[in-house]
Amino acid sequence: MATIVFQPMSQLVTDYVMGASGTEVPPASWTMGLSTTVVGSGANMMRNSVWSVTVSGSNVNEIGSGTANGYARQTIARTIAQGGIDWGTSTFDNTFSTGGQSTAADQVTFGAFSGAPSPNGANSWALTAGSTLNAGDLWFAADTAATRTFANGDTEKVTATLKAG
Amino acid sequence: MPFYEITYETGRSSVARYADEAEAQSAIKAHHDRAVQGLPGGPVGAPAERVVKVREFDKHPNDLNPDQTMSADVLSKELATLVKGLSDDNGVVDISRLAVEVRALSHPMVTHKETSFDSNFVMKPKQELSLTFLEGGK
Repeated sequence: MATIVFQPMSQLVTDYVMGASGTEVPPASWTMGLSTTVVGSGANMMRNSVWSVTVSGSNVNEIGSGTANGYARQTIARTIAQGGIDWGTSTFDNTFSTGGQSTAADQVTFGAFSGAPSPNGANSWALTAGSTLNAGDLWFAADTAATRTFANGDTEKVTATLKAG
Repeated sequence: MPFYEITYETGRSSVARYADEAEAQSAIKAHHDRAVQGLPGGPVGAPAERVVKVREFDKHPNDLNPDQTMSADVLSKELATLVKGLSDDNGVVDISRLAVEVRALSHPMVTHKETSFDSNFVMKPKQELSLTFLEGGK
């Protein structure tokens, strides 16, 4: 399963965290979206990919942007272990080559779908910002284990994890 | 197109967008019926979950304050309250903690819920749907 960290996330570290710059700032809350686009290994999503309704090049295309049929982005709060859907207490892996600090968000649920969203077929999930489909900063993404095609009554659960090392 | 926060018996919830209330009821009942019948809830095969609350919003409840702005008058009062609340016995305020609390002023999600069926969002719903439409299986 491929994953990717997008340029805005990298810039958050270099500019906002390291330099207290306001050029790239985190949103009031994170949101998660489902994409038809495969993360791939450089030929699909790229570090400078952006959300777009146009399926072309390295664009990231969101399901349900034509017909929602129950699809909407899910919110993950910028808090740790509070009452709602947010991030868990992070843990540290001291392994020299592969270690780092890890955190997992509470599981989010998409749907229930009222029918097939258009476009349909989620190949990846992405941490993003805002609720407008095919818009907002992209932070990081990962492939789903298989293409998820939705129908009436379906829900889809996704748990985001992040390891900074 | 309205948005709906659907709360399941597990305490999990989702936000869904439908054309209207009729479409919302159709989709939510379809999922709820699967739970009653012990069927999978989606393409992965995880069990469906009964629905216990449905709240309707005119816009996505994430959009409480997307611009992260506040009137100067209101912010001044909020800042005064925060500074007072964060002052220790010596009248000293931890600026890093204050910065975190200031950022929280625009958080769309609640940080404390009385029960797991409470809404995850600060935004007040337009209405809470009666769940009578869930009665009577297929």
